[in-house]
Amino acid sequence: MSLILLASFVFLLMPIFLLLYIRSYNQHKKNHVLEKQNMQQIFESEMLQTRIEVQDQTMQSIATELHDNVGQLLSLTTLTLNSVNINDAEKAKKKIDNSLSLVNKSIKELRELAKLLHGEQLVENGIGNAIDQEINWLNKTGAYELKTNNLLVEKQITSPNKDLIILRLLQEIINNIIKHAQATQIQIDAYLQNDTLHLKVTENGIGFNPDEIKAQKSGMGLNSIYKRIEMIDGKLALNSAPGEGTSIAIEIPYP
Amino acid sequence: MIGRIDIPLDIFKILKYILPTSASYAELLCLVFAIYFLSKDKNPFWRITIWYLVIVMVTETAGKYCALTYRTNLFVLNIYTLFEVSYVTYGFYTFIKQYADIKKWIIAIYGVIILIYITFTAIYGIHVYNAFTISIMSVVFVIYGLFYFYLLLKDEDYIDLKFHAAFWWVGGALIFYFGSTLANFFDDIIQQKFLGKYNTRSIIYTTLNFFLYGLWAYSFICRARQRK
Repeated sequence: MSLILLASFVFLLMPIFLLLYIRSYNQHKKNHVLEKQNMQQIFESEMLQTRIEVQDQTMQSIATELHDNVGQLLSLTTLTLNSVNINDAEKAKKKIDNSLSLVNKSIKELRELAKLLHGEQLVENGIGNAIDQEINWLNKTGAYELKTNNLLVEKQITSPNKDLIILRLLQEIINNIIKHAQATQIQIDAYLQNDTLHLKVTENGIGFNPDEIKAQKSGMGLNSIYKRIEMIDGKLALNSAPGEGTSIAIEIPYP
Repeated sequence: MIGRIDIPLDIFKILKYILPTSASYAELLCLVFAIYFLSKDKNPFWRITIWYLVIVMVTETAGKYCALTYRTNLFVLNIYTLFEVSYVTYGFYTFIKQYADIKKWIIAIYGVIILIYITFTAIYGIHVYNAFTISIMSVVFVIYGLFYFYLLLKDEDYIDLKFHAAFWWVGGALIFYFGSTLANFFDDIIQQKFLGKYNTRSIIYTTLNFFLYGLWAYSFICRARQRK
């Protein structure tokens, strides 16, 4: 009799333990959900930061263009027009023609600028076009001998979040080259192979020791580049040595 | 053959039938909770719950009355089993359908249990305790309960189980039906006295009732909270 009572007690305990187990498992599930939410939040804030940086970069480019290019052209136009002597019809005609051509050039430059302003939205038209825009801008500075091979322009597939990050990575790499590399040649390759986007930037600048730069926390925005690459499951290979230029190869699962 | 015992009814006798015994305190408490927390509920299952608990209390009272008057109350328990199997099946259906479509299975299994019940009653009569049907029913409910928990664990969404009415309702039912498995199988033996004084059956069922109705009462609180 007491055996049955004891066995019944055990039978009673089993479902109670089952309930306790389910509750503890559920707690783990809660932690997992919270972790996922947290990661999503970090991702979103990082995306926002990237978007702001892309906008900043565009604004900076526009300011530089306005100051160095359009501003100069218009100043020259004013000078030329000021020096027009209407009594000397022949010279005056020449100067006015010159001014007209300067104004036309300014208009052309402004159109280019408008395109650059669109550049930020260009990401919506595909990463290929955005990269092209970036290369055009770099080309216009005339400071570098550029070799480009952008095979992404014809591709129809897009991945908005990744595109934005890739564009920002390229901007950051180009910025680093302009600020630190003292390069004369830059080669940019972009293509898609086996659902992986490859982006490779090589230059012949002064180079650096990657380990030293990585150890410095602020190191040329490299930390931010690595963080963002990681965010979209990408890989980055950096090759550089003092005096031997730098090459950065990025691989990102795409789309 | 059931013979009526002619005992004149007085007010104390009537009170004896109506007042709860130690075994039915939990049921009464559960009914009070159900009326208080579920009377405004629009969901058919929770509304039926109140009426089911009324039937449980009526069965208790009728059972006591019949035990004293006819010396047997087994036919009351046997009739009550029909309500029990229907209500608990409906409960499991209500909760499992949120995760899986097993309507046809549940209806088929319900039909088989009813068939077993009718066959048993036809063979042995209404005055023999239908332990066979109750055993089958308990096993089926245990499977439903475990299946519900399996689906709950598999589900990716997080639910706060502390205030999840379905979890506590199923938990109560699982403890009761799993815990009573042995009692059902050894129904004849456990009617004997334990330590010369206590009825083993009564000890087991009082404990199980305490868990079942206690957890159900708590699930009603959770349900009222969910409704808000």
